[in-house]
Amino acid sequence: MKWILALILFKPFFTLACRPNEIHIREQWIDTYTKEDGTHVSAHLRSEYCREVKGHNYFQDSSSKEFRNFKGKFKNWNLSEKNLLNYELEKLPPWIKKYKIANFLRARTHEGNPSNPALTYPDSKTIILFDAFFKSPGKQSALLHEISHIAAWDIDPNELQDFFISNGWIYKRGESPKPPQRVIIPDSSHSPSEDFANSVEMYYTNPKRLKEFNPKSFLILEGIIKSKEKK
Amino acid sequence: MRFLYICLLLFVACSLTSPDSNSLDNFDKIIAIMKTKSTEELFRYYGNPDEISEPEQDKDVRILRYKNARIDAYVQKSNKNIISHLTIFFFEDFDNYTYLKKRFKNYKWIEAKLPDNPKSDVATDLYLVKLPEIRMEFQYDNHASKRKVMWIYFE
Repeated sequence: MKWILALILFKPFFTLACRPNEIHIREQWIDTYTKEDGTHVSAHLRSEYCREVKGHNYFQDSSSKEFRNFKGKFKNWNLSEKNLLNYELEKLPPWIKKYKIANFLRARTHEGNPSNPALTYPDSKTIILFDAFFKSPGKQSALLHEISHIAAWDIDPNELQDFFISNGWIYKRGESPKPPQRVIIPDSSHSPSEDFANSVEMYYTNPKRLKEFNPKSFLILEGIIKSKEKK
Repeated sequence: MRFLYICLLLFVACSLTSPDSNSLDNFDKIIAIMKTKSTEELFRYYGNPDEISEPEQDKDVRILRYKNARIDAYVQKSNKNIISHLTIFFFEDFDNYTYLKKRFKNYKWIEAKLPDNPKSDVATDLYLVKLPEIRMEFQYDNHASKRKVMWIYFE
Protein backbone atom coordinates (compact mmCIF):
# COMPACT_ATOMS: atom_id res chain seq x y z
CA MET A 1 0.00 0.00 0.00
CA LYS A 2 2.85 2.35 0.89
CA TRP A 3 4.39 2.19 -2.56
CA ILE A 4 1.00 2.82 -4.20
CA LEU A 5 0.62 5.97 -2.13
CA ALA A 6 4.20 6.94 -2.98
CA LEU A 7 3.42 6.56 -6.69
CA ILE A 8 0.39 8.84 -6.34
CA LEU A 9 2.22 11.43 -4.28
CA PHE A 10 5.32 11.54 -6.45
CA LYS A 11 3.61 11.62 -9.79
CA PRO A 12 5.04 14.73 -11.55
CA PHE A 13 3.05 17.81 -10.68
CA PHE A 14 3.95 20.65 -12.97
CA THR A 15 2.30 23.81 -11.76
CA LEU A 16 3.62 26.39 -9.37
CA ALA A 17 1.10 29.19 -9.13
CA CYS A 18 2.55 31.90 -6.92
CA ARG A 19 0.06 34.15 -5.13
CA PRO A 20 0.07 37.93 -5.71
CA ASN A 21 1.95 38.37 -2.42
CA GLU A 22 4.71 35.96 -3.46
CA ILE A 23 7.79 36.06 -5.66
CA HIS A 24 8.90 33.16 -7.82
CA ILE A 25 12.40 31.94 -7.01
CA ARG A 26 14.14 29.99 -9.76
CA GLU A 27 15.69 26.56 -9.41
CA GLN A 28 19.27 26.98 -8.23
CA TRP A 29 22.33 25.01 -7.27
CA ILE A 30 23.17 25.29 -3.56
CA ASP A 31 26.78 24.62 -2.61
CA THR A 32 27.71 22.66 0.50
CA TYR A 33 27.38 24.75 3.66
CA THR A 34 27.23 24.42 7.44
CA LYS A 35 24.32 25.86 9.39
CA GLU A 36 24.86 27.95 12.54
CA ASP A 37 23.91 24.94 14.68
CA GLY A 38 26.68 22.90 13.02
CA THR A 39 24.44 20.86 10.71
CA HIS A 40 26.23 20.00 7.48
CA VAL A 41 24.14 20.52 4.33
CA SER A 42 25.36 18.77 1.19
CA ALA A 43 25.34 20.51 -2.19
CA HIS A 44 22.00 20.10 -3.87
CA LEU A 45 19.70 21.46 -6.56
CA ARG A 46 16.96 23.51 -4.92
CA SER A 47 13.71 23.39 -6.88
CA GLU A 48 11.88 26.54 -7.90
CA TYR A 49 9.44 27.83 -5.29
CA CYS A 50 7.26 30.80 -4.32
CA ARG A 51 8.52 33.06 -1.51
CA GLU A 52 6.22 35.41 0.37
CA VAL A 53 7.04 39.11 0.10
CA LYS A 54 7.87 40.18 3.63
CA GLY A 55 6.51 43.54 4.67
CA HIS A 56 4.16 45.51 2.50
CA ASN A 57 5.15 48.05 -0.14
CA TYR A 58 8.62 48.26 1.24
CA PHE A 59 10.42 51.58 0.75
CA GLN A 60 14.12 51.35 -0.04
CA ASP A 61 16.49 54.32 -0.09
CA SER A 62 19.17 52.40 -1.96
CA SER A 63 19.98 49.01 -3.40
CA SER A 64 23.18 47.09 -3.94
CA LYS A 65 21.61 45.21 -6.85
CA GLU A 66 22.33 46.13 -10.45
CA PHE A 67 19.25 47.15 -12.41
CA ARG A 68 19.12 46.56 -16.15
CA ASN A 69 17.86 49.57 -18.15
CA PHE A 70 18.65 51.90 -15.24
CA LYS A 71 22.03 53.45 -14.51
CA GLY A 72 20.96 56.40 -12.36
CA LYS A 73 21.37 56.88 -8.63
CA PHE A 74 18.77 56.15 -6.01
CA LYS A 75 17.76 58.78 -3.52
CA ASN A 76 16.12 58.79 -0.12
CA TRP A 77 12.38 58.76 0.29
CA ASN A 78 10.87 61.59 2.27
CA LEU A 79 7.88 61.14 4.53
CA SER A 80 5.42 63.10 2.39
CA GLU A 81 6.30 61.00 -0.67
CA LYS A 82 5.80 57.80 1.33
CA ASN A 83 2.45 59.03 2.62
CA LEU A 84 1.34 60.10 -0.84
CA LEU A 85 2.31 56.75 -2.36
CA ASN A 86 0.58 54.79 0.41
CA TYR A 87 -2.53 56.92 -0.10
CA GLU A 88 -2.53 56.20 -3.86
CA LEU A 89 -1.89 52.48 -3.34
CA GLU A 90 -4.87 52.24 -0.99
CA LYS A 91 -7.15 53.57 -3.73
CA LEU A 92 -6.18 50.86 -6.26
CA PRO A 93 -8.77 48.25 -7.33
CA PRO A 94 -8.76 45.32 -4.84
CA TRP A 95 -7.30 42.74 -7.26
CA ILE A 96 -4.38 45.04 -8.17
CA LYS A 97 -3.84 45.89 -4.50
CA LYS A 98 -3.24 42.18 -3.77
CA TYR A 99 0.04 42.40 -5.70
CA LYS A 100 2.57 43.14 -3.00
CA ILE A 101 5.55 45.12 -4.20
CA ALA A 102 8.84 43.89 -2.75
CA ASN A 103 10.76 47.14 -3.27
CA PHE A 104 9.80 50.71 -4.05
CA LEU A 105 12.93 52.64 -4.99
CA ARG A 106 13.19 56.37 -5.62
CA ALA A 107 15.30 58.10 -8.29
CA ARG A 108 15.36 61.45 -10.04
CA THR A 109 14.76 60.44 -13.64
CA HIS A 110 14.77 57.58 -16.13
CA GLU A 111 17.63 58.33 -18.55
CA GLY A 112 16.01 56.24 -21.29
CA ASN A 113 12.81 58.25 -21.22
CA PRO A 114 12.64 61.23 -18.80
CA SER A 115 8.86 61.38 -19.13
CA ASN A 116 8.49 57.89 -17.59
CA PRO A 117 6.98 58.17 -14.12
CA ALA A 118 8.23 54.68 -13.17
CA LEU A 119 10.27 51.67 -14.19
CA THR A 120 9.09 48.17 -13.27
CA TYR A 121 10.93 44.85 -12.84
CA PRO A 122 8.17 42.21 -12.90
CA ASP A 123 10.30 39.22 -11.79
CA SER A 124 11.48 40.84 -8.55
CA LYS A 125 8.33 42.97 -8.05
CA THR A 126 10.44 46.10 -7.89
CA ILE A 127 9.23 49.54 -8.97
CA ILE A 128 11.47 52.59 -9.28
CA LEU A 129 9.52 55.85 -9.02
CA PHE A 130 10.90 59.03 -10.56
CA ASP A 131 10.29 62.75 -9.94
CA ALA A 132 7.93 62.66 -12.95
CA PHE A 133 5.60 60.41 -10.93
CA PHE A 134 5.28 62.90 -8.09
CA LYS A 135 4.75 65.81 -10.52
CA SER A 136 2.11 63.93 -12.51
CA PRO A 137 -1.63 64.36 -11.94
CA GLY A 138 -2.08 60.72 -13.06
CA LYS A 139 -0.44 58.93 -10.13
CA GLN A 140 -3.25 56.41 -9.83
CA SER A 141 -3.10 55.59 -13.55
CA ALA A 142 0.68 55.20 -13.39
CA LEU A 143 0.44 52.74 -10.49
CA LEU A 144 -2.36 50.81 -12.20
CA HIS A 145 -0.22 50.60 -15.31
CA GLU A 146 2.98 49.52 -13.57
CA ILE A 147 1.37 46.87 -11.37
CA SER A 148 -0.48 45.55 -14.45
CA HIS A 149 2.96 44.83 -15.94
CA ILE A 150 3.49 42.50 -12.96
CA ALA A 151 -0.03 41.04 -13.05
CA ALA A 152 0.19 40.32 -16.79
CA TRP A 153 2.45 37.32 -16.13
CA ASP A 154 -0.09 35.89 -13.75
CA ILE A 155 -3.12 35.78 -16.04
CA ASP A 156 -4.70 32.50 -17.13
CA PRO A 157 -2.93 31.58 -20.43
CA ASN A 158 -6.14 30.87 -22.35
CA GLU A 159 -7.66 34.20 -21.34
CA LEU A 160 -4.46 36.11 -22.07
CA GLN A 161 -4.03 34.47 -25.47
CA ASP A 162 -7.66 35.31 -26.31
CA PHE A 163 -6.99 38.92 -25.35
CA PHE A 164 -3.86 39.19 -27.50
CA ILE A 165 -5.51 37.46 -30.47
CA SER A 166 -8.55 39.69 -30.20
CA ASN A 167 -6.25 42.72 -30.14
CA GLY A 168 -4.53 41.40 -33.30
CA TRP A 169 -1.09 40.24 -32.08
CA ILE A 170 0.71 37.54 -34.09
CA TYR A 171 4.16 35.97 -33.85
CA LYS A 172 6.37 35.89 -36.94
CA ARG A 173 9.62 34.00 -37.35
CA GLY A 174 12.71 35.81 -36.04
CA GLU A 175 10.75 38.90 -35.09
CA SER A 176 9.28 40.27 -31.91
CA PRO A 177 5.54 39.68 -31.57
CA LYS A 178 3.88 41.71 -34.33
CA PRO A 179 1.37 44.30 -33.17
CA PRO A 180 -1.94 45.03 -34.87
CA GLN A 181 -2.08 47.96 -37.31
CA ARG A 182 -4.23 49.97 -34.93
CA VAL A 183 -3.51 50.22 -31.19
CA ILE A 184 -5.30 52.14 -28.49
CA ILE A 185 -2.21 54.05 -27.27
CA PRO A 186 0.88 54.36 -29.56
CA ASP A 187 3.25 52.60 -27.17
CA SER A 188 0.89 49.59 -26.97
CA SER A 189 2.65 48.36 -30.09
CA HIS A 190 5.97 48.02 -28.18
CA SER A 191 5.02 44.67 -26.66
CA PRO A 192 2.02 42.55 -25.68
CA SER A 193 2.78 43.37 -22.03
CA GLU A 194 2.61 47.11 -22.78
CA ASP A 195 -0.67 46.61 -24.62
CA PHE A 196 -2.10 44.72 -21.64
CA ALA A 197 -0.94 47.35 -19.10
CA ASN A 198 -2.37 50.19 -21.22
CA SER A 199 -5.67 48.35 -21.57
CA VAL A 200 -6.00 47.72 -17.82
CA GLU A 201 -5.17 51.36 -17.14
CA MET A 202 -7.80 52.49 -19.65
CA TYR A 203 -10.38 50.02 -18.30
CA TYR A 204 -10.39 52.07 -15.11
CA THR A 205 -9.71 55.55 -16.48
CA ASN A 206 -11.69 55.60 -19.75
CA PRO A 207 -13.71 52.37 -20.16
CA LYS A 208 -16.01 53.95 -22.75
CA ARG A 209 -13.10 54.57 -25.14
CA LEU A 210 -11.67 51.08 -24.57
CA LYS A 211 -15.06 49.48 -25.27
CA GLU A 212 -15.58 51.51 -28.44
CA PHE A 213 -12.07 50.76 -29.69
CA ASN A 214 -12.47 46.97 -29.51
CA PRO A 215 -15.67 45.66 -27.90
CA LYS A 216 -14.52 42.00 -28.00
CA SER A 217 -11.19 42.74 -26.28
CA PHE A 218 -13.03 44.86 -23.73
CA LEU A 219 -15.26 41.90 -22.80
CA ILE A 220 -12.27 39.54 -22.58
CA LEU A 221 -10.41 41.99 -20.35
CA GLU A 222 -13.49 42.46 -18.21
CA GLY A 223 -13.67 38.66 -17.83
CA ILE A 224 -9.99 38.55 -16.83
CA ILE A 225 -10.48 41.30 -14.24
CA LYS A 226 -13.65 39.73 -12.83
CA SER A 227 -11.99 36.34 -12.45
CA LYS A 228 -9.01 38.01 -10.70
CA GLU A 229 -11.40 39.89 -8.39
CA LYS A 230 -13.02 36.59 -7.34
CA LYS A 231 -9.69 34.96 -6.37
CA MET B 1 -10.58 -4.31 0.67
CA ARG B 2 -8.06 -6.26 -1.41
CA PHE B 3 -10.23 -5.67 -4.46
CA LEU B 4 -10.08 -1.90 -3.82
CA TYR B 5 -6.26 -2.03 -3.59
CA ILE B 6 -6.13 -3.87 -6.93
CA CYS B 7 -8.44 -1.27 -8.55
CA LEU B 8 -6.30 1.55 -7.18
CA LEU B 9 -3.15 -0.19 -8.42
CA LEU B 10 -4.64 -0.58 -11.90
CA PHE B 11 -5.77 3.05 -11.92
CA VAL B 12 -2.28 4.33 -10.99
CA ALA B 13 -0.62 1.97 -13.47
CA CYS B 14 -2.90 3.12 -16.28
CA SER B 15 -2.35 6.79 -15.48
CA LEU B 16 1.41 6.28 -15.66
CA THR B 17 1.51 4.20 -18.82
CA SER B 18 -1.15 5.58 -21.12
CA PRO B 19 -0.85 4.32 -24.68
CA ASP B 20 -0.06 5.92 -28.04
CA SER B 21 -0.88 9.55 -28.66
CA ASN B 22 -2.16 10.13 -25.12
CA SER B 23 1.36 9.71 -23.76
CA LEU B 24 2.71 12.33 -26.17
CA ASP B 25 2.85 15.91 -25.00
CA ASN B 26 1.92 18.84 -27.24
CA PHE B 27 5.54 19.22 -28.35
CA ASP B 28 5.79 15.58 -29.50
CA LYS B 29 2.59 16.04 -31.48
CA ILE B 30 3.66 19.36 -32.99
CA ILE B 31 7.07 17.99 -34.01
CA ALA B 32 5.32 15.05 -35.67
CA ILE B 33 2.86 17.36 -37.42
CA MET B 34 5.59 19.72 -38.63
CA LYS B 35 7.62 16.83 -40.08
CA THR B 36 4.93 16.43 -42.72
CA LYS B 37 3.38 19.93 -42.39
CA SER B 38 0.17 18.28 -43.43
CA THR B 39 -3.18 19.52 -42.11
CA GLU B 40 -4.31 15.88 -42.23
CA GLU B 41 -1.75 15.09 -39.53
CA LEU B 42 -2.90 18.14 -37.54
CA PHE B 43 -6.53 16.97 -37.68
CA ARG B 44 -5.47 13.44 -36.69
CA TYR B 45 -3.97 14.70 -33.44
CA TYR B 46 -6.22 17.64 -32.60
CA GLY B 47 -9.42 17.18 -34.58
CA ASN B 48 -11.24 20.08 -36.20
CA PRO B 49 -10.16 23.60 -35.20
CA ASP B 50 -12.30 25.56 -32.76
CA GLU B 51 -12.04 28.64 -34.93
CA ILE B 52 -10.71 29.73 -38.32
CA SER B 53 -9.62 33.34 -38.72
CA GLU B 54 -7.64 35.70 -40.94
CA PRO B 55 -4.90 37.87 -39.45
CA GLU B 56 -5.22 41.52 -40.45
CA GLN B 57 -1.44 41.63 -41.08
CA ASP B 58 -1.59 38.92 -43.77
CA LYS B 59 -4.76 38.35 -45.77
CA ASP B 60 -3.26 35.40 -47.72
CA VAL B 61 -3.23 33.27 -44.60
CA ARG B 62 -5.85 31.43 -42.57
CA ILE B 63 -5.30 30.52 -38.94
CA LEU B 64 -6.68 27.22 -37.66
CA ARG B 65 -7.11 27.82 -33.95
CA TYR B 66 -7.22 25.17 -31.21
CA LYS B 67 -8.25 26.98 -28.06
CA ASN B 68 -7.57 24.42 -25.32
CA ALA B 69 -4.19 23.42 -26.71
CA ARG B 70 -3.47 27.12 -27.46
CA ILE B 71 -2.22 26.09 -30.90
CA ASP B 72 -2.52 28.26 -34.02
CA ALA B 73 -1.70 26.60 -37.36
CA TYR B 74 -1.09 29.02 -40.25
CA VAL B 75 -2.20 27.78 -43.66
CA GLN B 76 -1.78 29.61 -46.98
CA LYS B 77 -5.10 30.16 -48.74
CA SER B 78 -3.47 28.93 -51.97
CA ASN B 79 -2.49 25.60 -50.40
CA LYS B 80 -4.96 24.56 -47.75
CA ASN B 81 -3.39 21.17 -47.05
CA ILE B 82 0.01 22.46 -45.99
CA ILE B 83 0.83 24.24 -42.73
CA SER B 84 3.28 27.08 -43.33
CA HIS B 85 4.04 27.49 -39.62
CA LEU B 86 2.49 26.86 -36.26
CA THR B 87 2.58 28.55 -32.86
CA ILE B 88 1.76 27.39 -29.37
CA PHE B 89 1.04 29.93 -26.63
CA PHE B 90 3.02 28.27 -23.84
CA PHE B 91 2.79 30.51 -20.72
CA GLU B 92 2.78 27.69 -18.15
CA ASP B 93 2.89 28.16 -14.40
CA PHE B 94 6.54 27.26 -13.70
CA ASP B 95 9.94 28.47 -14.86
CA ASN B 96 9.31 28.11 -18.61
CA TYR B 97 12.93 28.60 -19.63
CA THR B 98 14.29 25.90 -17.31
CA TYR B 99 11.52 23.52 -18.37
CA LEU B 100 12.13 24.06 -22.09
CA LYS B 101 15.89 23.76 -21.68
CA LYS B 102 15.43 20.36 -20.00
CA ARG B 103 12.62 19.27 -22.35
CA PHE B 104 14.79 19.91 -25.42
CA LYS B 105 18.20 19.00 -23.97
CA ASN B 106 18.84 16.57 -26.81
CA TYR B 107 18.63 19.27 -29.47
CA LYS B 108 21.09 21.97 -30.44
CA TRP B 109 20.11 25.13 -28.52
CA ILE B 110 21.17 28.51 -29.99
CA GLU B 111 20.52 31.57 -27.88
CA ALA B 112 21.08 35.21 -28.87
CA LYS B 113 20.55 38.48 -27.02
CA LEU B 114 17.87 40.73 -28.49
CA PRO B 115 17.88 44.52 -28.14
CA ASP B 116 15.86 45.91 -25.24
CA ASN B 117 13.82 49.07 -25.53
CA PRO B 118 15.65 51.65 -23.35
CA LYS B 119 12.59 53.95 -23.38
CA SER B 120 10.20 51.40 -21.94
CA ASP B 121 8.71 51.74 -18.47
CA VAL B 122 9.18 48.02 -17.93
CA ALA B 123 12.66 46.53 -17.78
CA THR B 124 13.31 43.65 -20.16
CA ASP B 125 16.20 41.32 -20.88
CA LEU B 126 15.14 39.67 -24.12
CA TYR B 127 16.63 36.60 -25.81
CA LEU B 128 15.81 34.62 -28.94
CA VAL B 129 16.23 30.85 -28.73
CA LYS B 130 16.46 28.70 -31.86
CA LEU B 131 16.43 24.92 -32.13
CA PRO B 132 17.28 24.47 -35.82
CA GLU B 133 16.93 20.66 -35.84
CA ILE B 134 13.20 20.93 -35.17
CA ARG B 135 12.79 24.41 -36.72
CA MET B 136 11.53 25.80 -33.42
CA GLU B 137 12.13 29.24 -31.95
CA PHE B 138 10.85 31.46 -29.15
CA GLN B 139 11.63 34.64 -27.29
CA TYR B 140 11.93 34.92 -23.55
CA ASP B 141 12.39 37.78 -21.15
CA ASN B 142 14.76 37.16 -18.27
CA HIS B 143 12.86 39.81 -16.28
CA ALA B 144 9.46 38.22 -16.77
CA SER B 145 7.99 36.33 -13.87
CA LYS B 146 8.80 32.61 -14.27
CA ARG B 147 10.46 33.58 -17.58
CA LYS B 148 7.10 32.80 -19.15
CA VAL B 149 7.21 32.26 -22.89
CA MET B 150 4.25 33.48 -24.91
CA TRP B 151 4.53 32.10 -28.46
CA ILE B 152 6.70 29.15 -29.49
CA TYR B 153 7.07 29.08 -33.25
CA PHE B 154 7.51 25.98 -35.43
CA GLU B 155 8.22 26.02 -39.15
